[in-house]
Amino acid sequence: MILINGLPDDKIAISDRGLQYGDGLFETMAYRAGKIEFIDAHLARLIDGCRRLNIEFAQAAKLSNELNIVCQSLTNNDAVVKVIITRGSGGRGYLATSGVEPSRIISTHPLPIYPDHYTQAGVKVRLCMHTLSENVVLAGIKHLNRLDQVIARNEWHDADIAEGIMLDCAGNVIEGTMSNVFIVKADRLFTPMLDKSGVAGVMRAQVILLAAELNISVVETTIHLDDFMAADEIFMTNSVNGIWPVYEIDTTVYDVGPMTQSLQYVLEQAKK
Amino acid sequence: MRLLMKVVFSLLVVLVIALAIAWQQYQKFMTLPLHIPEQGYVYTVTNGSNLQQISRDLHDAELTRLPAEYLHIYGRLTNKAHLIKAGEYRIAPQTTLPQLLDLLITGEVIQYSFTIVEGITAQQLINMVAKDERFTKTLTDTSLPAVMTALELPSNHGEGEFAPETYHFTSGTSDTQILSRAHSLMTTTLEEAWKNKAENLPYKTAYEALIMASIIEKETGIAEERAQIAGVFVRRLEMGMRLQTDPTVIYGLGANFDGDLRRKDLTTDTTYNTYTRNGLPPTPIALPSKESIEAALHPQAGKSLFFVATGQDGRHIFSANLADHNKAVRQYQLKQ
Repeated sequence: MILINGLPDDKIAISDRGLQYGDGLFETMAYRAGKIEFIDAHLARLIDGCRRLNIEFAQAAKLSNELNIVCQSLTNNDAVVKVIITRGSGGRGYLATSGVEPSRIISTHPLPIYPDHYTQAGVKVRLCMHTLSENVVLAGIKHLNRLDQVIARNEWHDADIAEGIMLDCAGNVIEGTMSNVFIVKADRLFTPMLDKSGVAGVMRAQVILLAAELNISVVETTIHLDDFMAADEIFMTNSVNGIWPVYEIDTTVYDVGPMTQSLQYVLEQAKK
Repeated sequence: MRLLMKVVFSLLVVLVIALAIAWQQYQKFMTLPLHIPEQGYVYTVTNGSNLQQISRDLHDAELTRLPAEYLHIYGRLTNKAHLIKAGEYRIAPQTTLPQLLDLLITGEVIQYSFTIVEGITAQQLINMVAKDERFTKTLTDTSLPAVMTALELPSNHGEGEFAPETYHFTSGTSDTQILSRAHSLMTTTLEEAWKNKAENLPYKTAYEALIMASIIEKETGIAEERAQIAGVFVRRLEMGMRLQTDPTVIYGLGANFDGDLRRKDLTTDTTYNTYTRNGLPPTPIALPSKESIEAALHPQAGKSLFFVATGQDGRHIFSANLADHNKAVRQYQLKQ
């Protein structure tokens, strides 16, 4: 089922600013065991993003109700639920008209099926050639302009490679094309700071909170590729897939370490 | 003749002696303090009681050795007997009988005080009243709905509708009387506050403001934080963002709450769970103070949408964006 502004539909006006300019935001969420995982964190991020982009989104209550409707219509036990909020239609060129109600698009998709060993033994990833653009205003926001990720993801077609690591122009590791990254070095947990580029994922935030519950402090910092490659453990996070340990980057191999496994365990507990 | 003189003389002597005794008794009556213990003596003049009865009681209680009739006679002679007022009096040490009579005329009966602490639930209040031996008991069923029926307020839910305050009352006050007073004080407090509310608030009725006030009450005990918290919740209501406030979840759990709020509790739906439901809960969740009602109706302007307890003197850190909030959660909440 697809709901556009609360009504079953699958078409949106070509004047919508989401299509015209990528003027909007989205959330990709996992629906399992009858509920959307970390729904509160997703909605909070969505609202936060709207505020940062000055999208006057005051329909969060409607959106919540619509999400319930969409979830109830699901026949599968699990699915991906995607929400897109755009600034709506109209305006003169880039100039937006104030007072226009933002568009709400909710769609569901089958949960991607990955082999079990992705979570247990880990995934093989590669380093992407394409680098992320820097923009301090947009850094962290899950906005609709995802061309960097689109270009990077289309660099490879090898089905054995699950994800690509993206760097900034200075050679620092920022994130994966669809996930965030963490490394363990000398029993400490690090993740790239996302103040100039990258998307601050909901799962990333959850992992940071869960690590704190285990009394593991997470350092958000600049991680150069050389330090990244020299890590003891590497894992990638995203809302749908949870925590994927990395066992191979190009030809360098890594063990699935105890820190990664502990966090996977507490994450599963937290979902219950 | 001598016999007559003798008789007259004897009579005179008797008369003088009698007068002397009467004078002495009168003096005693007027000046002799009653036997009152240091902490005073509590005496209750029941409705319809008269001075004769009171005199007898005092005598029986051995507060005076003077004949019981004296006070009665004195009251009749001074025309004060009919002025006494029923009630519970504290007789101070060194009180004389005439002073006692004056006290009983003033009607200055013993005042007790009963304090309703803000933030407790209506049911907790009822339980306190039921346990307090100073109140005359009329309630047989002390559940909140039964009490509301007894107070003749059957259409109201009752939660949040009693004003936290210190109430003075006298002996003979009943459980329903004290609850009625607290209920009507809350009604007038809310009405007054509603008249002077700020503009453009998202509440449709004063009752919604009362609900908000009760949440503010439970969220903070810090005076200057109330309007800030009101601001956060009002902005959330305006945006349609869920309130996500733990005290509502706890209220919804009722007796199932064991003092430890779990992640699972936040995702388990109840009519009071503001993580799973939009807007305000259906009723207040506690008895809000006047200050919280004021805060609900005068929220502080600002941008913050989140707050987290610091664990230090009950204070909170307010954040306008998620990144700052997540940082604050990490810094404060998880250390507890």
